Amino acid sequence: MLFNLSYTTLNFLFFVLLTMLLYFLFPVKKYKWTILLAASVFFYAVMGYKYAFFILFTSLSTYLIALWIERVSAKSKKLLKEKKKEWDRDQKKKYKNKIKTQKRLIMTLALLINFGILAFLKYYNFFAGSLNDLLGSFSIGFSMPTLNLILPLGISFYTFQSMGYIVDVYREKTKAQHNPFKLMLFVSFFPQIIQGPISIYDQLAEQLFEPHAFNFTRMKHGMELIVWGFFKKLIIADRAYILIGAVEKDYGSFGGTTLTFTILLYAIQLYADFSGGIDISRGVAQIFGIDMIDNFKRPYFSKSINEYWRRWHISLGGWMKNYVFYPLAMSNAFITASKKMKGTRFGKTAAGAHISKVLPTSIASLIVFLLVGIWHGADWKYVAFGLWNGVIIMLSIIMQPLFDGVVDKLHINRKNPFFIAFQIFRTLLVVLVGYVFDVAPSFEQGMRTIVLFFTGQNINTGIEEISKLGLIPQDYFVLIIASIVVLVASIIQERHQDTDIRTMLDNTHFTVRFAVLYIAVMAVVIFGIYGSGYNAADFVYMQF
Amino acid sequence: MKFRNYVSRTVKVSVFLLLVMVSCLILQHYFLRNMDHNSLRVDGFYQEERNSLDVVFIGASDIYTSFMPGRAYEQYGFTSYLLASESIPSEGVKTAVKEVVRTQHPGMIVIEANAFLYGSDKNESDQAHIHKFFDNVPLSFNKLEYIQKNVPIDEKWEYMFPLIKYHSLWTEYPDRLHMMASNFTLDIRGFNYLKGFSTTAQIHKPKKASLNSKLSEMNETKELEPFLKKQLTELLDYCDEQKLKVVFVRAPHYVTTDTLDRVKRSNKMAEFVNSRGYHYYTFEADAPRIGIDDKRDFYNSDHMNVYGALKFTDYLAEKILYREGLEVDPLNDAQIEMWSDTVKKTNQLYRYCDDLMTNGNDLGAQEDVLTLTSLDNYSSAPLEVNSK
Repeated sequence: MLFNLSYTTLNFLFFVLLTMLLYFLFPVKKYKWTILLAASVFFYAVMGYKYAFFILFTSLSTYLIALWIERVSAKSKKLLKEKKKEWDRDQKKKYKNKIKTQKRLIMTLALLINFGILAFLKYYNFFAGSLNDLLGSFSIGFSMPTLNLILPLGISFYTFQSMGYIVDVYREKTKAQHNPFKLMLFVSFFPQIIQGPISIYDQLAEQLFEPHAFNFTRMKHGMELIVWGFFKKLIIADRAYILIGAVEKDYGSFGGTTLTFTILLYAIQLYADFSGGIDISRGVAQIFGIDMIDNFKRPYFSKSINEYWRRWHISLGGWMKNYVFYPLAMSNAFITASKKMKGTRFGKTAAGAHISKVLPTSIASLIVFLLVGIWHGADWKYVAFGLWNGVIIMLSIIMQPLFDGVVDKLHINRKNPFFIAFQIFRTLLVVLVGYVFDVAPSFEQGMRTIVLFFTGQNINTGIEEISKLGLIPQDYFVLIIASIVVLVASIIQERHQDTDIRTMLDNTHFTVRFAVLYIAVMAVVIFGIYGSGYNAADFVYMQF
Repeated sequence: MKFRNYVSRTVKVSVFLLLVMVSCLILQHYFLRNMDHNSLRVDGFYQEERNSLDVVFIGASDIYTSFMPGRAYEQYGFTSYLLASESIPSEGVKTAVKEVVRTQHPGMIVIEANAFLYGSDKNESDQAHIHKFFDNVPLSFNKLEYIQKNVPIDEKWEYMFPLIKYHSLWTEYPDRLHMMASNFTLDIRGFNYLKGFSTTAQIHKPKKASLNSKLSEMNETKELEPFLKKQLTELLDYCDEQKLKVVFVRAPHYVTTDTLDRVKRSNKMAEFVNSRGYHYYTFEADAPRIGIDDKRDFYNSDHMNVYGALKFTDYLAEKILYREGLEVDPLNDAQIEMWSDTVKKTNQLYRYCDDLMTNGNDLGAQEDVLTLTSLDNYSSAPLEVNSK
């Protein structure tokens, strides 16, 4: 890193201000997007110049392969048009299949190259280590060397985004971009490069290339969103991380109460960190007139784990749904397996009929969540994290009729607030167990933590341990107040889903808006964790 | 209508930004600031009327515990200020000289040598010592020049806006209230009573014997640390360029075998400074002649207490006036009134410290509300000759 341009630095704010001035004052409307490209290149050069080769390679390979796929499509369409009268139906079908296979091969080439780079850099050492352990257990004297690999900044995010674009071009949902610089902007747009959201080409690209004029309301809303992001990241997330980081350093030495408290705090920290970062990204993009997808929809209000994953990291969930889940669930293999099961004796029972019906979706869900787990990191604990979520979702799909039956039998009103609270609480518990594998340094430690939840609770020891973990009473006070502010804002937003709080704020008296914004800014200035007095934490999702 | 909207928005945004900026500046100056005697001393320097000082002293604690501007004014009639900061690095000395040139045109600048006498350049990167001085220097081209040359890129903002570094000090209230009050009363009053002097009421209880009586016979030298010599050369070049009347001094210390190397480096520095045409007074060797009593006049091996400071002030003031030929500027009525307050507070401070030491109480005494309110119980009459 040449110098720190991380989203929560003054450097970044000045960088945005400068980019904003250049963008809105740029005289040639048609080429306004080049300012965004220049800013993105500068941002990446400053933050990760040593690894710029990788993003350049991904941009270039994505650009060329998308053009190749489009050219094959265009050529085949032209030929089909020419041979419309000459060829019979079978010949046309055969040709179409040939072209489809050819396009699929080209697409697979792109996926293999780019996911191959990601997999190599991110998972090679994990794979080598696991293989060496396995071979060692059989006393086989072969070991794969481990390499000193460092992940290029944002590689998971830009690889997923680029590959989504390739698949969309293959599916002819979108046209290939003929300007390599425009594609490069789509891949490297600076507000989203660090931690997403993972955007779909059709949703983002045109907005990037369109010349946006300065708009006061949009800038005001963008700024408000940035302040809100700072509030969550600097006041809550980075303060909570002081304790979580201290626990992570010596994880094995803490008892059940401390670990339980840490996991609860982690739930708050992770949400504040990730959603705060996304708010900053979206806020910056909004200033330039670009609406990026919201990655969060108050996930801790979810009534089921399925719903939670529709509200948490929405862009990753959307990507997985579009490019993994549907292709798997609708694949011939899955549908054939489902049909086969339906034909068996078991498949003719009520339970069997249901299971065979939901089999493709439940297995596809399991695979998707296994991939989500692995996406989070190269460690068995992330595999466990993915499997835990996948298995719970699979079971909830399979056992849905049973749950419905129980609820009906007990005459429970599904809209009863206590029942809803129970559902939210139940979901939160499942989520928290998943988080254990995020925080724990290894799968074994994760399992130990779960055991300690039930067997290792000791309030006195816990209080003593927690009091030595770097947070002072004033920090807890700030954490509680700030978390209540976020909770209240989330409740208001949950109740008014047709609008957003910033628009609601626009409808209040000027002095109210002024006071709210002033208090928010000053709260960040005074209570934020930043500056050299602290070791400000990186965004959690930056490492993915 | 559209134009009215535009104007209204511009006004609202400007008012908001202005309010945030003013709030941050108030927070940075009064509430969330690393306040101590260093900040009060440096703030006080910038409160002095422009071109009103006859002498400015620059250096580390070695000078601000040794020279009493109130005493010098009372007995010798010249005005002075101690633009000094705890363990100030050489780069700080250079910036301080530039700041003196920017804000005052004193008849003389006296530089205490401590910053150039270290055996290594570690002090140059000691963040605490750097911040203690530079955080309190207001933004100016001199400060920006220091930041641009010396501060790592990721810390530059913190030097320009110390609030970034110290915003978390809210957790230390109410313990910091008295320093905040000191800062506030200094601003209300508009001048620093003690002109930068601070001390500790304590008598040194040494574990090793003093070598002070033998120093006048010792001419041994030791090379200056190369980086510090380079800094000193640059400082002298600047003084030449600006044609400044600069005198270098080394305040008396309780020298032992542990600190003898610094004396040797001081001798070397004297040679070097003299070769460049500047005067250098090694008062360490003069301690017995000044009348410094090893058993009574120090509060630790590096610093004199008020007993030693009084003697040294008289000795140095005479040198400045008679040997260096300082020309003293006349004062107006307001300045005379301010300096008579300074004289009173200095005399009261001496008696306060004397009282504490006589009763065996060790306590810091400086320009803060706790010390200043304690002074009210003591006489401000001129100090008697036998006090010396």
